[in-house]
Amino acid sequence: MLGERAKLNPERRRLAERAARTARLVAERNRRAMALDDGSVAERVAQWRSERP
Amino acid sequence: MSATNFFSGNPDLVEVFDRVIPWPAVVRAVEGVDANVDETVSTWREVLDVAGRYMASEIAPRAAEVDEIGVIRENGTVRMNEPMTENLRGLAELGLASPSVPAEFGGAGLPFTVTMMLAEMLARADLSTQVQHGIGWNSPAALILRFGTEQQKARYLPILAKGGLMGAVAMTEPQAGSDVGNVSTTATPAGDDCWLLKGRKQFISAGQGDMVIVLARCVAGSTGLDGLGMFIADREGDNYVVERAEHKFVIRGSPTCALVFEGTRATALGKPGDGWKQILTFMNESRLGVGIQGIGVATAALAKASEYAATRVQMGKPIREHPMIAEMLLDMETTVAGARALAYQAAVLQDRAIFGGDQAAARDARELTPLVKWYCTEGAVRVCRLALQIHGGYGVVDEYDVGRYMRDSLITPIYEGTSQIQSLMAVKDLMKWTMQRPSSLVRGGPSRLLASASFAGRGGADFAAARGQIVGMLRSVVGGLVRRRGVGILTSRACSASARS
Repeated sequence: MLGERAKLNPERRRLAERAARTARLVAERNRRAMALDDGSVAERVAQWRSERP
Repeated sequence: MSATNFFSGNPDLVEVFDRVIPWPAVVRAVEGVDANVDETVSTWREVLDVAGRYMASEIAPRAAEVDEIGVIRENGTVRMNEPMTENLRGLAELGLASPSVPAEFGGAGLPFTVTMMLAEMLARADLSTQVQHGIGWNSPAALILRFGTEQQKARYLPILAKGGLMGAVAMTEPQAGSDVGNVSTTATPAGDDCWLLKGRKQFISAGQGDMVIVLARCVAGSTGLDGLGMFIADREGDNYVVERAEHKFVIRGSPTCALVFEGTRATALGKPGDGWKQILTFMNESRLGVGIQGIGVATAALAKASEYAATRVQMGKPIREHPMIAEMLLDMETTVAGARALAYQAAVLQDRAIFGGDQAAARDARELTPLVKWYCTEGAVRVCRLALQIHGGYGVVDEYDVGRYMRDSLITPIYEGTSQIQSLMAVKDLMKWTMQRPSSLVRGGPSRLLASASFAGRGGADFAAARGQIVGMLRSVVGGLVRRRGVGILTSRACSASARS
């Protein structure tokens, strides 16, 4: 959406580029985190479920 | 960014108003096809300008006092403090008590988008006051306008529009927060359109007021989200009890109340049994509203941090000229501008969906709502944290406002559905749409808004890469589901079952 704004007002381009770069870094980090998931959360949830009275 | 007018002194907000909002579509949806677009938009702009000046010059200077005094508790009663009452009185005198109430009931008749701009400026001035204004006046009015009988509208809307009465919306119970289907307050028919309420409500913003709209179970034996209804209860004559106001370190001026109903007389609002469907419309709007609150607080924090960093000199230069501080300020500015762009896109969609009955807009609004709530409120906490850090030791001193912004920001990712609930909602919808149209995964993904955008230059390349990562993640998740459950998961029946689970 900041990209759309930058089309209307070129002064906004730097801000839009910064936002896009941040989005790219966050998306890359999240995808990497998903790929490296070691299953420990699911294991811990299963353990707590089994302990439930 | 000027501190003398929160509208005209905020170039980003002005740019959104003047150049981004597709006003002809909003005016046509709200006022009808024959409305004069230029004249209507000019009036709305004037309202924002006058309100922005009042909020900057009158409400913001009282915010520290509102916070310091907090909620008044005396002789078993709960009430707002005097500076807060003064803030609200001023807004009512401007004709902005319940801005969305139509002119025929004495209100300003503003669209959701403009009401949200007012909310942003008010949250920047003082979040406690904004909560009282939004939940105490505007939300009950919006629900009664949408679902009330002619008698209910005639009885409540004119007085809510004038600010002569304050209400609240009570959903949460001690055992039913995000789990709305666990609501146990009951409504039993007692003849002559009267219902009797029994139960307890908790964490009710602006609950100290004169009336409350209550979500209660009205179909005996019903469970979950079925069999709920909305009911209006007046407080007059101790019809219900404001048991207490919580002691809290956020939005200290706004009473967050526990309410007790013991045979409380009430009237049905809308169709008993359809309560969940009805209140969902309120929840979508209030979630956008909380996102907007985050933008308001973050804007306040950014303005203070920018001002401080320009005047605080260390090692021979203003601290904003130190690259790490400059990086923080730029990050804050980007977050606020991004949040504002996202939120007002959703607000326009909401106007087109609610007033214009536009189904495509409703679907897009549904997609954006949890993202707005998540991004704007989590972003607010981060921006306030950075503002505090930029202030160094002064940041934790009470006479500097950033400490209050930090505290107040912390409530925004919690109420009206936590960030975790927003994530679940967003992922659930995204998965449902992906599985209904798996072919979208070889293009730009199931989100029309994401898939249709493209930009030139470095920003465009980063945007495309980010979208590629998101679509890649969806491919992995859907691939995993298909491997575990078979291709049948992609049929519509399996898809709805999966989306429910």
